[in-house]
Amino acid sequence: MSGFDQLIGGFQIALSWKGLLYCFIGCLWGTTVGVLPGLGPLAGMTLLLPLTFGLEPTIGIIMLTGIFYGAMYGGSTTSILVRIPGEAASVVTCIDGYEMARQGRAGPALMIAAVGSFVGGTISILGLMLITPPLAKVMIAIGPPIEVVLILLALGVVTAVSAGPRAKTAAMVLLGLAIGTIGLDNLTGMPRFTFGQVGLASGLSFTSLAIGLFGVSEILINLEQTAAIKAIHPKLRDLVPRWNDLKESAPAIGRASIIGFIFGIIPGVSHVVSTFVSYAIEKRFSKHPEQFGKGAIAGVAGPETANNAVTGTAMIPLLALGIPSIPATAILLSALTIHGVQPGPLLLVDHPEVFWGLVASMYIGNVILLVLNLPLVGLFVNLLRIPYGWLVPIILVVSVIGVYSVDFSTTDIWIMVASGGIGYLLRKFGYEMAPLLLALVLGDRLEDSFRLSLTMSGGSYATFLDTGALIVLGAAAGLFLLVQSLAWAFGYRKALVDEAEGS
Amino acid sequence: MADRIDRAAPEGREAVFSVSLHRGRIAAALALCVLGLAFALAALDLDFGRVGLPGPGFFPFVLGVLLAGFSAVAAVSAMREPAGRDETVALGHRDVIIALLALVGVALAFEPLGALLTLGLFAAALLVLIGRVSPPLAALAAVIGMLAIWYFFKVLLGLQLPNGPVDLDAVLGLLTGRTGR
Repeated sequence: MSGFDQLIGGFQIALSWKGLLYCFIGCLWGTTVGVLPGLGPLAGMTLLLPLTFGLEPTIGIIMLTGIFYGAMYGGSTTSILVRIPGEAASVVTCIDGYEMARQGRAGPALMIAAVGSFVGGTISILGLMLITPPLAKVMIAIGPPIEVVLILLALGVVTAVSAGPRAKTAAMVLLGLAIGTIGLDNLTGMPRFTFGQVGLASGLSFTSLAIGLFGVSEILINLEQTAAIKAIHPKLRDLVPRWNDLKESAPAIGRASIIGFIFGIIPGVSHVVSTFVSYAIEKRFSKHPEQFGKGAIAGVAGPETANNAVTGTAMIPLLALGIPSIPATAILLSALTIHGVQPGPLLLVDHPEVFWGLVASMYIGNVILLVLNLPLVGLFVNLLRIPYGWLVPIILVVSVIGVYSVDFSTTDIWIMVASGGIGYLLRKFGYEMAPLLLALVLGDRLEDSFRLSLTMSGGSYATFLDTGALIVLGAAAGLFLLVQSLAWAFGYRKALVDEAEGS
Repeated sequence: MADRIDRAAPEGREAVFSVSLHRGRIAAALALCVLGLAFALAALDLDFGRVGLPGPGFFPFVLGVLLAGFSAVAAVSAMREPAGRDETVALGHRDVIIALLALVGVALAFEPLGALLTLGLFAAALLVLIGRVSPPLAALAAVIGMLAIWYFFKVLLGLQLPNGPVDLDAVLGLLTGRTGR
């Protein structure tokens, strides 16, 4: 079957009533968590992860991915109207978006953000569709040594690009890898750190840990910050941008689509980095750089396009290599694995319906979000009026049921509560949870591939330096260095740290 | 992200105590360092194998040692930083403690009391204590929430949640003519 036929098959799945319904639910919930300050795509995805267990893998993954890119859309709303970024990738949008809103131009800012998100998202899906199949074909031949190199590279890059001190991030990566070793050893069946508990034989539940570390700790942190929110309410008729707005935004959207597209493949906080780089580039390209910070529409169009252009290409490492490059795709990996679907080079051979169904649903999801976000912007802004104390019981009840439903064990609820408390404390002292989660997902494969490589090579570590591994390492390191240089040149790290400290 | 520096908590919800951000960073790093060492020590009880042919204990041992090492670096970095005069981290915020204790209560009561009753009580308690909702309104919201949970999770999704001594599942089934799958 040709790629086109498979795409048609994907659309048949995505346009089925189930595909449409769960894509809509994902987009709606994603927009909601994107709008609500403190609840980002990760918390949103982990909270609904258990609900996917009763669904077919393709439908479940369609919903979770909808949450991911839906949150990117939703994040812009609060940035523009309240000056509070709904999630990290919308931090830059606050600068000019809120200034526009203060000048009575919230409507055009929201409209351009939505259109840019749509264009960026669509271009990025094209990339996902065109790059993944050939890349998977090449990677199908990779053995355990190259897999070790790739995983180490991904974790190394995540550590290097983090906003916080690198020693802390490295500690989180190592903690995640260490937690991943709990349970039966995959190669010998020997129990490790189970303390005689049968319930720990399969390791600590990823769902419980993810919901605890992201969902519960996020809620606990937010409970401390209950400052009153004042939002600017735009009217629907004010949404239409002026001709000048379109003229200034169009090139910004084009450039940011390319930036997001490239950054999406890089492991780490690519969606955040891409927005800072895009903003800096727009400022340099602008004929009126002095307007940046005072309500320049290109300052909204660029970052909002870039963070959505990341969503599609960020899926390429996951679907072609089986290696998540960002925490959101780590959750998708976990969801697919729970369903017995192993992402990686063989995904397109063994489960083409998952890949093509997902690609098709992302096209549809982008349209749903465009339609959903503009007319309903008032509704989403009103979500901010609901006292956070009313939302907490609902979110926690769903979390408890979700965690319990994985193995029908209260041990998982205990794990969720404990990891929520520990995650809360660690975050208070500046430790990021995202690297921990990524390492937790990759830990098993790293160890298995590492030991298998050595067994196959008769104990020779030179196996990790063979030609194929060196090519992969060299290419990835080159790309990483380029991106790091760009990120540093445009001061993204400093800006991110400043923003975090100011928040 | 950088360390969080707390703003003033809303009236009546102040944190129970505050710790110096400087000391807190050091303590957190040292705690991770001790955890790493404990992990490495526990891994010594497992078959280490050889460097060329690692056993089940090799990877955890190396990870434990590295975790201890990087945490020690983080602790030393924190010690070298000048202690800020006003930078404190509030811990034990009233609402945070309530939410955590309520979650512990859920874990304890989930099977003995049953899912619906436990979650209903949990939601009502949080609405009153954190959401500042009046008790009658919170009770009403909790009852509606329990009905929603029962219908969505038990009837529609067919999840097997524990019933506890009072079989609310059967009662609701009789009242509505629907049962969980």
